[in-house]
Amino acid sequence: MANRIFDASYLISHWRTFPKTSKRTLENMRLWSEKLIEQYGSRRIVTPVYIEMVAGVTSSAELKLAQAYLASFEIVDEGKIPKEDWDKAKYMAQRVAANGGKRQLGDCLVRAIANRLNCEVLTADRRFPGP
Amino acid sequence: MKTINFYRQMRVDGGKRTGIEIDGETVLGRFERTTKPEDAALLWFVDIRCSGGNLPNEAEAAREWLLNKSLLIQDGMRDLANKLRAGIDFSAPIEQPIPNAEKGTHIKIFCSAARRPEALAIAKALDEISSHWKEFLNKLEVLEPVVR
Repeated sequence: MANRIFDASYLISHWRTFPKTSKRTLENMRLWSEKLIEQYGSRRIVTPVYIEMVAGVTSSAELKLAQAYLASFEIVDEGKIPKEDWDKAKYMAQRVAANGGKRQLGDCLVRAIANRLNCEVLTADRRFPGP
Repeated sequence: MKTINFYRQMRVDGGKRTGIEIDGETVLGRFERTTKPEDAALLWFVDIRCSGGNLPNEAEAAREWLLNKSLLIQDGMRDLANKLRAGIDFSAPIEQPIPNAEKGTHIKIFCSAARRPEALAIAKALDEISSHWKEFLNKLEVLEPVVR
């Protein structure tokens, strides 16, 4: 869908803005992610984004909610990350921005996969330097 | 219900991707590269999303269908660009229906920017797409499915 991939920063930001007036049920979390998908015209994520999302939960109940939220998304790399993506991620990680900002493994890998799949990355993180 | 989506989006490195999707799969596309260091982060996107029972199934027919709706879609984009310049709320992606599509068909413009200051950039983008609508459609190339 429209060659757009959500990175973890986008999903985490959206997850946190779930309305306080609504109850966090499995169905409501699924509907919440469907709303994001409708707005941004994409249901694409990549494996590192899925892992980063579930790695952020702090209880088994929250894990189930996160899984319900993530179930609406399509993992476009299908869990297969070839060496070329790792090499590109390594190259990006070695590029130091003018402001000296640090790079994260997830960010580098997401962008490497996105480049290979001819996709753009929906990201809330503006600090990351280009490859 | 079938869907056709025309999209144009701009990256941080200045690259622009344009395409047409049928039922969520890009069938026609074009990428305009720049000489800046590659950065796939998205700055903004504009979608023209169409849905209905009588939309075409095939790439060239979808292009033709969108060309036939040119005036309607171009007017819708110009109208939205004017609203953006007037300062409508841009805290979430904007969704604006285009009225007077044929019976049983719905056309909506969706657009969003990574940061609020890009609102005016989107207005410019809408003007650009509106002005070059037929040219953008005609330049799209048939795409093979992406091998993952």
